[in-house]
Amino acid sequence: MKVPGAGLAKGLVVTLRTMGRRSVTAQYPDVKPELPPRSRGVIALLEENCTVCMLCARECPDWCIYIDSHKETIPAPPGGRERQRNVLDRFDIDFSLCMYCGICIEACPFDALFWSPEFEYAELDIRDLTHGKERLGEWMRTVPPPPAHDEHGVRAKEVEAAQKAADKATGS
Amino acid sequence: MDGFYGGYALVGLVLLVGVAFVTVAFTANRLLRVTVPGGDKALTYECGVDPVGEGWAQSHVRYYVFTYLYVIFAVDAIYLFPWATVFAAPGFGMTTLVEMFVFIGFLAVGLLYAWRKGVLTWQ
Amino acid sequence: MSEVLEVALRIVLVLGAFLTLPLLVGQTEHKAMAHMQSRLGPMYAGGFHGWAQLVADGVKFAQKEDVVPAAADRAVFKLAPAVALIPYLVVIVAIPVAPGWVGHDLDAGLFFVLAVMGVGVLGSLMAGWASANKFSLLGGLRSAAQLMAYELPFLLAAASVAMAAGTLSLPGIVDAWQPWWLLWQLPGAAVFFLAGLAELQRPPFDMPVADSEIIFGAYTEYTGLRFALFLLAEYAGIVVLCALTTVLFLGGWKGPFDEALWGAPGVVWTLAKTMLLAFVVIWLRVSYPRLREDQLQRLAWQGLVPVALGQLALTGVVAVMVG
Repeated sequence: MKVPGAGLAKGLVVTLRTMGRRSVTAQYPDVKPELPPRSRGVIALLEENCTVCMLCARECPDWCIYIDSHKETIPAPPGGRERQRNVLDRFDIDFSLCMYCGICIEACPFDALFWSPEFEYAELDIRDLTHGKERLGEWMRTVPPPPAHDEHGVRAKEVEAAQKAADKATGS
Repeated sequence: MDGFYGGYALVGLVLLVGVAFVTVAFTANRLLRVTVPGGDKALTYECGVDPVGEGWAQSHVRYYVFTYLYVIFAVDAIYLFPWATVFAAPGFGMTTLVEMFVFIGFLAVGLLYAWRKGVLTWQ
Repeated sequence: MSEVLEVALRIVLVLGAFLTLPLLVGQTEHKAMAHMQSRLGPMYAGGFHGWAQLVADGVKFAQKEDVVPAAADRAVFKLAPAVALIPYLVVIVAIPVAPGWVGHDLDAGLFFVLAVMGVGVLGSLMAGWASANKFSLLGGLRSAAQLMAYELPFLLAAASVAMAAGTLSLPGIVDAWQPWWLLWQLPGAAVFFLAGLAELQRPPFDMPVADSEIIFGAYTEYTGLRFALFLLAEYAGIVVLCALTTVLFLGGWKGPFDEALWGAPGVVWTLAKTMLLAFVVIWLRVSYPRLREDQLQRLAWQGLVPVALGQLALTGVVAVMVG
């Protein structure tokens, strides 16, 4: 049987019960949030790994990565010949345009770009949101170590090949 | 501060204290506040766009029938209070009660009539 | 000399209650409403759980610029907050908190209180008209409609208590009060409390200030100290309504235990009941959505008025039979 006013009482009960529970408010500036390692906070750059292949800049959907470089000639070692390599002059990401899709990180063939959970880089002027390679490099410190491999998973074929070679050398 | 007027003298004093409280608050405000008059802040607020027409716009007062009902009942309520203090006293009793009920009954029937006539719907 | 001192003391106590209790209710609302919504509410001001939030707000309001819109009716616009606020201070004079503890035992106390509380609503009507703003005007019209609809059940429910007690003096009503009146006057108490809430324009009866449609109704154009006075008036109104409900329907300073057995002072009982009712006011605000204008009118005219008339009949018959 439906008691008249039961809905009204139910509403009161819900609010009173919620008052007894712990609130869910995150006390943000006092207590830092614990973010999962894959949080998309900011993009960090490991400059040593970058070969200026430009793949990230080309894949970026909103063109927010700016790269300048020049070629440098490494003098020939004895008996060898001269080699050329790319030197990175400028690697800027404009975080006012970036939409945090992560395609640059996926596209990078040399593991030079990483997600970092760091998110406290608000600025007062939108133009100050373009960050250069120094700042992007600093964020490398905040990149968490990659999660461990699944021990029941299939191992990478490079690892398998190395294991096979090692077995051959020591064993039979 | 005794007697009828004494009590209302205290009420008058408290009223003066209230006026003094508001005055003090606004004097403090005058000493503390910044004053930069003019500009858009004196414009009538209309969700950010320039106000259209004047603020005292014509609108349909939908509750004027309720007002009549209210006035009738409010007058009744004023009669009710002095009556309420004496009706149960010895010497009055049932007759007084029935008389008042006849009076309230007329009003209740009036309310019922208005209700049935559909006046009490907001249109 | 001592008489002057006594009068001064009474006035200071009345003013003290007027300045502290609304802040207490406001702070309770901040925290209770926050926790009912699974939030924390203010946490910084004053250090411990934001206890000084309203003091900080007051200091901020006192420093803000006094802006009067160019189109407004200046004198009425400036006067409105005072008209809204001062009646509640005056009403506190007549409310008893313990035997003998009353600003003054007015012999027509109930009548006086109801009349003066009605003046407070004029403040929002003045604000609504003087702002020269369409939102304010709509808010003011809605305030008027709501006043019209709810003043009546409010008066009738109060009259029922006067009939039961046979006096209009508020301390006299508490003296005459018996515990079984809780049941006898229950419909009247509910009508009085709900109609009072509606007159204060508290949620769920806050159609006149409905923020999602008419910004803040009659108070849309107000800032700074004038706005703060309107807010103070709202919370003073809650205190007055809860104290009146306590005095009229819940036995004021009378506790549930024999006074000789467990002699808590009457002031504690009155304040405890008042604060409990204030909590209910906050609780209702959090729990229920706003009533539409036609629902408001229907609740008043087709719900509360008939119930109040029925209560009058019940009170009259029982009072004559007992007496």
